[in-house]
Amino acid sequence: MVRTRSDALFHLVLLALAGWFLQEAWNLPANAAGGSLSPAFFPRAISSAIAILLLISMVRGLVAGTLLARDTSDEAATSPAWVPVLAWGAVALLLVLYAVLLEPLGYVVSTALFLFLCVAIISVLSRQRGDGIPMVRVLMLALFSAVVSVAIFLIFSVGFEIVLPTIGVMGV
Amino acid sequence: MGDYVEALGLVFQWHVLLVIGGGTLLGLIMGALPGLTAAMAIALLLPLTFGMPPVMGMGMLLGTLCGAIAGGSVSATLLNIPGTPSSVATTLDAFPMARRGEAGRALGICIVASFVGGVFSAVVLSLLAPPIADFALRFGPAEYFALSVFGLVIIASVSSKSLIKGLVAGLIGLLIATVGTDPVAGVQRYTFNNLSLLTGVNLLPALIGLFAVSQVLKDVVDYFGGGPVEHSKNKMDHARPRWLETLRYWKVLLSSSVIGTIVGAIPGAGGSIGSFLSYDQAKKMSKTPEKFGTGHPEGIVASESSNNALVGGALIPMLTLGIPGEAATAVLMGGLMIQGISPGPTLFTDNGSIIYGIFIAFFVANIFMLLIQWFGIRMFVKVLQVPRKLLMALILMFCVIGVYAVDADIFNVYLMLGFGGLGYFLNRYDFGTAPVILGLILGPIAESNIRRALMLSGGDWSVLVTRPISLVFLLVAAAFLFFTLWQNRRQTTPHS
Repeated sequence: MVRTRSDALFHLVLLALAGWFLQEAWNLPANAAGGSLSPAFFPRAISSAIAILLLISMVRGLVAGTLLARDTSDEAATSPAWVPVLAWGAVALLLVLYAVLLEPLGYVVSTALFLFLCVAIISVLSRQRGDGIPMVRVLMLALFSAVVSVAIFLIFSVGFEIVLPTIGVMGV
Repeated sequence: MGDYVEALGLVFQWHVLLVIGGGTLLGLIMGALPGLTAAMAIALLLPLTFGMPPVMGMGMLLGTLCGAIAGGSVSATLLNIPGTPSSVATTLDAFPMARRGEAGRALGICIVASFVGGVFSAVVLSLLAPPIADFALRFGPAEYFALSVFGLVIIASVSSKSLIKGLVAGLIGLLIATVGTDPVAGVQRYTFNNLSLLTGVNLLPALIGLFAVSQVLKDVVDYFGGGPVEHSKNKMDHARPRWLETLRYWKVLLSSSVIGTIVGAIPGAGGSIGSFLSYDQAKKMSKTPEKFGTGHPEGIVASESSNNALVGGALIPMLTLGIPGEAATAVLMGGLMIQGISPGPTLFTDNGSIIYGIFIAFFVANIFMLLIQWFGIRMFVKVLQVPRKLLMALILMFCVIGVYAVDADIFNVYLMLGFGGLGYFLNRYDFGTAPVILGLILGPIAESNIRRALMLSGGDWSVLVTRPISLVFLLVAAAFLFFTLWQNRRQTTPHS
């Protein structure tokens, strides 16, 4: 059953995806050999079942009056509500950028940048108001990120003989 | 017997033992850290097993699983935060004992109880799995389809707070499993001319995305909402196995190991249920039930022996029938399939030495678990001091590199990120991720077997109910479905 309005929104996203999968399934051949099922049968049946179950869940939420209820799970949080959302979005965006830049920048550079920015973003967002960030800590984090990325590169490429992307400068 | 001798040779090589020990150590470290689940630990280490022989790779993953379950007791004892869900009952007595300044004593009892529970379940696994697999050899396509439905219904029912949401999650997994070339007619489905999707969605990005990336994304949000963590007085000078003190409660050890193994073998029952059942049973059997919850050794013995016995129990349906009971065994099964080995009864006839090698590796992993905890328990306590933000960044890095390293295909990394986002929202809105992975694993089995069954019966669907074993699986699945529906209705109806 849908419990909150953001839950309802997620139901709608899943419903749209199920609808899209169902529509794509109509383009699949529906002829079956030897009395068996066609290649379209499972995709059609499953996406229809998902859509029906999601609709039931939403109707039950509507009947129980929880369909448009506000989210209360974050009310006990110590930070303002937007901070975790911003941190989540920033980390998710960083992950996508990391994946996009992994091959063009090579493993070592992209990983060092990812580690540095990921920890820095969480640190900045979690500091208390008025707290400064000492330059020593920034330098320590930069050093940590560089050392870890080089160390992991060596362990993977030399130890496990796993090919990681490089930009061809000094072997990294 | 010949298979067992060959299996001994496969396990007792120094590099295999080293890898099993390494997996156990990493499992213990990850299990000790709150927020890192056993499933996540296995998913993170999966890429390392690619180049390994099956017994070596599975030995490492089994060591990780045993270690992660046992390691969960460290944060349960010292922080009152269970490292894994199966350590929840451990907090009830281990933390009060640690707060009295006896953290070393509590952890010493945990070490012995975990070892005894793990070894007990390993013995049961070795004795029971072969006859069950022998029986399952009678299964035809109809039975396999019914078994897949049974497994999916059970995990969908218990993995989520709502039956409907659990079923949706399972169906999402089944739908994703249809991506790729159709197993019977060879037609491409949802591939969009992408070469990486021709053979279907790769299991590894799905596993790492659903169990590791989604968990870290949740941890990022939790990082800003967590209150202060209460630390116990970490008196660690006596943190060594408490053999005599633990074995004094041999009745509790035995009953909890039996309960843990049985609950583990029931698909979907899960870790916390087993340890709470054992805890409750120990309390009923005890001469001093009033001491439970105040830092009583019997409570720790019950919970810890039970949660490690669950591991061996959970391996029984996974290895003999190909039905993983919960998230960690689902990931473990994924690891086996990535190695090109399909769990199920034929594994016992076609790859006897591998399956017995896995049994022996499980024994060995339990011994490593004991030895590493014996000599390294202080190190795990130090692990708790690693800043969480560093851990989150490092885990995400390992996720990306682990998936990329397998076949240097950046598409799999994007796929993993997609699964990570999907897993985060599925968990946030109580759909659960275990049913998705089970749907993904069971989808091809269910589809190819029902199509084969209908081909053999000339399109007659009654083949599913005229064969007795298939009928039993379907009836049990239906009964479970109705029972869960009834239970959900009772919970949501006021005044009941």
